[in-house]
Amino acid sequence: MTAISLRQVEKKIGAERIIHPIDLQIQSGEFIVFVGPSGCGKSTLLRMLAGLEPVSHGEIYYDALNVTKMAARKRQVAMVFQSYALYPHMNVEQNLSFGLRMTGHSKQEITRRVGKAVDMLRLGDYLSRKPGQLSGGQCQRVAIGRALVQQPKIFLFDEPLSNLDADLRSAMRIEIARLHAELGTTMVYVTHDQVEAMTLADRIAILNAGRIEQIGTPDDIYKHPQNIFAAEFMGTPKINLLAGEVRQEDGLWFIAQDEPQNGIKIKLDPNLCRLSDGKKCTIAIRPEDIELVADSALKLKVEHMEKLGTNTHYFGKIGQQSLRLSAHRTAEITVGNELAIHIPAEKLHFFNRSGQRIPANRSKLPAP
Amino acid sequence: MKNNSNQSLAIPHFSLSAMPAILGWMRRLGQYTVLASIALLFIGPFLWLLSTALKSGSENIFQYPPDLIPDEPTLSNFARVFEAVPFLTYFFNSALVAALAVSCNLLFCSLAAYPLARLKFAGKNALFLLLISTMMLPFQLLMIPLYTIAVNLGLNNSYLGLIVPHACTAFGVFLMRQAFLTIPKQLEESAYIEGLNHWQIWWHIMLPLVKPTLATLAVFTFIGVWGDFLWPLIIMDEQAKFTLPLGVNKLAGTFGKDWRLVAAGAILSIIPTLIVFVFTQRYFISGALKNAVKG
Repeated sequence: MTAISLRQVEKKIGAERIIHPIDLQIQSGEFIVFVGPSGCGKSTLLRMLAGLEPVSHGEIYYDALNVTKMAARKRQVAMVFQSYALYPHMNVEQNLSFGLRMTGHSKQEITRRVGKAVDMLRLGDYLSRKPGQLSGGQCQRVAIGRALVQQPKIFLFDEPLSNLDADLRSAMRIEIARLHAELGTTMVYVTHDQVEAMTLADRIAILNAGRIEQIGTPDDIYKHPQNIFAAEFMGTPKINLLAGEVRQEDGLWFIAQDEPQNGIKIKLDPNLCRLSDGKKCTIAIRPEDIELVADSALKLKVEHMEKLGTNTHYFGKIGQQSLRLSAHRTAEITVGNELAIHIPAEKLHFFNRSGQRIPANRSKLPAP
Repeated sequence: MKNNSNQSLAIPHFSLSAMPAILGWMRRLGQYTVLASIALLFIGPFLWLLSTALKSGSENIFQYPPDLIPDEPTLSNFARVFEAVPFLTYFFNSALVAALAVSCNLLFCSLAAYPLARLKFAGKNALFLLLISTMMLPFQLLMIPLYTIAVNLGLNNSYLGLIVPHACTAFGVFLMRQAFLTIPKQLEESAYIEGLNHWQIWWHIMLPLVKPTLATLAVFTFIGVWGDFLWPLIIMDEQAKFTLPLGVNKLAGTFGKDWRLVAAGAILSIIPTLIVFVFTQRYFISGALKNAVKG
C-alpha cells in the first residue's frame, strides 16, 4: 500500500509542454483513473509514474520516497499494457514466472505466487499455451497475472481493455474491480473510456491538453462538473449546452442566444442562481434531466432516435438549438413528432464565459 | 495460378472467350523462359565444374562446344584430391574458422545492434550512419591497412587472424538493428518494469525473438567466411593452417594445372555450403528478401 504524490510534475519534449505542472495526491489503496481524449497526456503521466519516461521538472514520491530519478526496474511497480506485452516465445506459465526468475526469487516463492495468480485469474487451463494461442481476453488476464505475481506497491494500467470487444471489456472491468477490492493495492488506470472511468474509479482525474481539468469521485464529476470540458466529457449522450444570458423580467429567466425572441426560455430559481440581469453564461443540462411533460412552451422536434431497450435517446431541435434527451421508451414517439419538454431549473449547471462552473448560490438554499 | 494454367492448356480450340487465358499462358511462358535462362546462366558453370570433376584423364576437357556428360564417369579425381593435398586438414581449418567467425559475428553484431536500436544516447544516429557508410568501402581498399594492423597485432599466420575481420561486420550490425527495431517496445518496457536489466532483456527477450534474423546472418557469414580466398591468401603462409579455398588453389599448382583435380576439390569444398543452405534455406531466402525490401 503506497501513496503517490506528484509535485509540480511537468513534461516537455523540446520546447513543447506535453504535461503542464501537475500537483496530485493519490491515496494509499486508492483506485484513480486518468481519463481524457487521445493526446491529452494521460499515458505520458502514467509512464512518468512508472519511470519509463523522464520527468522534465518536479518530483514524484512513493510515500516519502523520492522516485523521480529512480529507474523503473527498481520502483517495484507493475504495469499492464494495452498491447498486453506478453513474451511471444514463452508459454503462459513462463510469462507469469519470468520476472520473478530473473530477479532471483526462490522456486517455492515463484510457485506460490504464480499459483495464487493462476487461481485468482482462472488461468489454470492455459498454462502451457503460448500467447499466440490465446484470445484477447485470456492474453489480458495473463498480462494482469504477470503484474500480480510481482506483488507490486502500485499497479499501473495503460488502457488495458481498449483492444477487447464490448462483452469482454465489461467482464474484465468487473475482474479488475474485484482484484482491487481483494488486494487493496494503489492502482492508477489510464483510459479514454468514460464507462471504465465511472465504474472503476474511486477518483477520476480528467485530463485535457496536458492539464487536469477536474479531480473527483465519479459522482462528483458527473453531478458537479467544474468546467464545460468535464461536463461534456462525461455522460452519454453528451450534456446539452446552451449559450445565452440571464434576464430579470417578471422573475429570473435564461434566454438562449440563438433566437432570443422565439427560442428557448427557461425560468430560473433565484435561490440556485447567483447571476443577475444581463449576465452572459452557458447553461448545461444532462439529457436524462430533461423531462417529458404533457404540455409546455418548449417543443422538441425529434430528428433522430436511438432505441436502447429500456431507454431511448432523442435528438432534435427547438428552433435552431439542438438538444439531446434521454427518457424511458415511449412507443408512440416517432421521428418528426414534437415533444413537450420541461427543463428543471434545479438540474441546471452554470458556466461562465471561460467555461468554468459558476457555483450555485448556496447561501440562499433552503435549509434541508 | 497452377490451376489456371492447367485449364488454359486444356483448351482445345481458340475461341474469342479463350483469348485472355491464352494471353495469360503466353505471359507465363515468357516469364518461365526468362527465369530458366537466368537459372541456366547461374547453374551452368557449376554443371561444367561437376562434369569436369567426373571426367577421366583420357577425355578432352577443353573441347568446344563443351560436353557436359562424361564419356566414362569416374570418382577417381575425388580420391586423388585427398592424396594430393592434406584436404582433411584444410577442411578442419575452414570448419574451425567458419564456426568461430559465425559465432563471434552473431554475438558481437547483436550486441552492437541492440543499443543502436533501442537505447537512447547522444550521437546514436551519427554512429549508426558512420557504421553503415563503411559498407561502401570495397575490401580491396581495406586490404593493406587491415594487413598492417593484423601483422602489428601478431595475427598473421594464425586462426585468429582469419576470424577477427569477420567477427563483427557493419552489415551484420545493420541486419540485427533492423530486426530489433521490429520488436514492440512495450515488450522491453514490460521486462524492464519487472526488474530486468538491459543485458537480461537482450539475452532473454530480444535474441529469442530475432532467431530468424540470427539464422540469416549465420548463413550469410558462413558463406562469406567459407568461400573467402583473398584474405586468407594475404594473411596465411603456413600451409598447415590453410583453409579450403587456399588448399583447392594449391591443387592447381601441384600437378601443373590438372583441372580435373581442381574441379573435384572445388566440388568437395562447396558441399558444406550446400548442406548449410539446404537446412537454413527458408531463413536465407526470407533474409535475402527482407534485405531487398529494406534496402
